[in-house]
Amino acid sequence: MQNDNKINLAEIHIPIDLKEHIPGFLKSRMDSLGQISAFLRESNYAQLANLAHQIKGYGKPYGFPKISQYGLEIETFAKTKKTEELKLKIDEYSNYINLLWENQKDFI
Amino acid sequence: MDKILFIDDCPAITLLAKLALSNYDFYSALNLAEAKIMMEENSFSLFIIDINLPDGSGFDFCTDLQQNVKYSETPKIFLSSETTTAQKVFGFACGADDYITKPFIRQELTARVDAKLRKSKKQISEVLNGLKFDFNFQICQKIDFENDNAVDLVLTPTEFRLLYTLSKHANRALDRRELVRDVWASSGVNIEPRGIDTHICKLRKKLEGSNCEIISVYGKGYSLKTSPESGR
Repeated sequence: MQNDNKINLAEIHIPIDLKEHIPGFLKSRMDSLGQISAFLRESNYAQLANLAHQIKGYGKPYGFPKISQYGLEIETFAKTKKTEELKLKIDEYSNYINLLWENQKDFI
Repeated sequence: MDKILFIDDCPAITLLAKLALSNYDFYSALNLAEAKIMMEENSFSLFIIDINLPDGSGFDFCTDLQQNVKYSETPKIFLSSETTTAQKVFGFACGADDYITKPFIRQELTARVDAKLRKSKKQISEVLNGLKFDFNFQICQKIDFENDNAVDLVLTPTEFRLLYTLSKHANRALDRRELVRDVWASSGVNIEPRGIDTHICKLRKKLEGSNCEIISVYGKGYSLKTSPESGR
């Protein structure tokens, strides 16, 4: 999925009344990356599935359908304990969150 | 303003719901323990419940609400990322009135909550001052919060309307004319204001042992006096 260094702005649809909340939202996503990595290192699939389950729920309403999609895929791989696919997907997700964080001025 | 209790362990989701339900008195809890504390201090008109919570299952919580005399008829909505038909069906079996899947559209959440509250306002029942009024059957029950059950006061239709009027205006003196107007307004029957006294006398006996008491207010009429616990 997102492996390059550009964001497809056409994929992002932030509701106007949520724009002021987006920096806080992205900060929380950045903060949780460390937790996701820790769960992965510990092979804590249950907690990874729980976190991914939440990610699936909140990405799209904030205007980031791709975040919800990552949540769905990470949850699926965590539940089936497909470690290699899980690592790759978490890497992709982390890259995407970092990109959003660094380029937020482009879409807020 | 209707109070809504939203139970979800994800702050990002809670913020979305809070914005969607800004027309309501919005309360949120991150887990079931917090929710239960809030329920001790407030009366809620609607619940929105996540299924996977840190300290238990939203399904179990909903089932408990369904068996709770005070909240059995209060609308309950599940908001969950669980999208399977089996989960939804189970949610309804637990007593839910609706099931919304995440990711959700805020306008849809608002519309569904509005609709549920609108419908519940066409009231089947209402709890006031520790008394549950069932409008379909004109039954009034005294709620025993400690043992979570209710006792029928066995009221006549007139007593039912009279007690409901007094309950709506609890701790306020109502004069006999006001009471007659409210209680007999739709019947077309002419009642002398003093005619109400017999009904009050019977109601007083039926309320014995409850947290409510009808007191006479000199020069005015009657008032339903309630103890603090009855407001739950």
